[in-house]
Amino acid sequence: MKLSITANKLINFAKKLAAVLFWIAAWQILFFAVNNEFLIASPMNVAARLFELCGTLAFWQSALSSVLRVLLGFAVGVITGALLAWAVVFIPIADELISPAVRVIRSTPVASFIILALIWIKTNSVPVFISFLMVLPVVFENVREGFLQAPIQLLQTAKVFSLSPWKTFITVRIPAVKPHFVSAFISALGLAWKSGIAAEVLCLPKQSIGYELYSSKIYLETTDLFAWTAVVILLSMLIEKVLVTLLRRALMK
Amino acid sequence: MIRAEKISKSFDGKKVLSDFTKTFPDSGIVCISGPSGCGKTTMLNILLGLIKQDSGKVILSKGLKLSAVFQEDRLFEEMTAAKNIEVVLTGSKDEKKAQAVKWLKAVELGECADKKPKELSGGMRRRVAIARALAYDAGAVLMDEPFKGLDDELKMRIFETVKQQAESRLFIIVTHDKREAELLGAESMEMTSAEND
Repeated sequence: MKLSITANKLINFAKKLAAVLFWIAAWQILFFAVNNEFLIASPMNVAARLFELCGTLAFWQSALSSVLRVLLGFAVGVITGALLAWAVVFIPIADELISPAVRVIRSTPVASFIILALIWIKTNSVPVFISFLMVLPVVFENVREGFLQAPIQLLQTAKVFSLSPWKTFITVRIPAVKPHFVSAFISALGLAWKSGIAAEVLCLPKQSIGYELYSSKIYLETTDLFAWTAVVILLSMLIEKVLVTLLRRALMK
Repeated sequence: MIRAEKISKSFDGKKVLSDFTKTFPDSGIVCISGPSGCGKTTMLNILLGLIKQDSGKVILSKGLKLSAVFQEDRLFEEMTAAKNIEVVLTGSKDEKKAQAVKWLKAVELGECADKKPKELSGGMRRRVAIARALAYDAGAVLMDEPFKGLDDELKMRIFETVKQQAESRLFIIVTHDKREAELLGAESMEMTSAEND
């Protein structure tokens, strides 16, 4: 039993590894076919550059500041989105007031917000604000949906046994929200990260991944551009893995 | 006392209850049977205040609280069996815990206090719902086919608990098994389809 589980894990790992190798090979072939370092960097050079970057303090400073900015915006967005969703479901008139505003935020292009934010606030805060704005509607819609989908039968049960509003909230509404919250959390995290980096590229805070991406474009350092993009992808996967695991653990206790 | 007075209710133009009138005593057991679709569940839901009748009225003596076993188990899935009961109780944490365990033992689920509903079989879940209804401090307990899925011997032992409880509280039990009314020593009441009136 145990042995077969380990064997399965090994097979799965081998499959994943094979897939990664396949795409790196495809990249290498494309590199040979295009044969132009300005358009496509070679996988070997990118790996070497990445390795080199990891050895510099500036790299870690940029990566860490970007991560912190995005996570700050994400956290504030999640909390605000959830609170607004709660308000909309439980406070009369809040729905009419809040829902259209959130819909407007959701439909406004990120670029408009970034440029507006550049006019309004300090450069370093713009990515935080943008991540926040991207996260808010996603969490809001999902959590609201969860609150509304609380099973009517359990709400009736709570009523018959005269549970207080607070107890009803904890026993019926919160469990209904949990799965919606988890899926909102995951998709919002991806959004926060991508839009946060995009905002950095446009407003160029010193010490940021966005700044590095922009500089490599200016100087036609395609290898750098690829290396930093790889950083973005790797960090995104890492953050998602860590946060989602923590969230699941917190909710399952 | 619970009194239903000339209660009528239709769903989508189909009459389910027509001038239903009945006075229930303060204690004892009343078993209600009748063909499916004759409005038994609807009647319980109207008494519980979960459905609004089209006409007629429900009169409850002042301060009378109602408890229920619904057609479905309606357990809170994220809570343990004991917590499912504690949540409907008042008092200190220890008192509630003690009460919950007491009632779980009464339905022979003492060992399952810390299990969640999804770890329990259908019959066990049903018993948690029964224990919760009994534990809640209410003058009347309304039960919709509470004993379905329970084996006969266990059912007989739970009947004893219900009978003992019925000395001081009212039980209204919907059942399609007329033997249950006899075994419970209950007043038996037959409902007919409103459409046939």
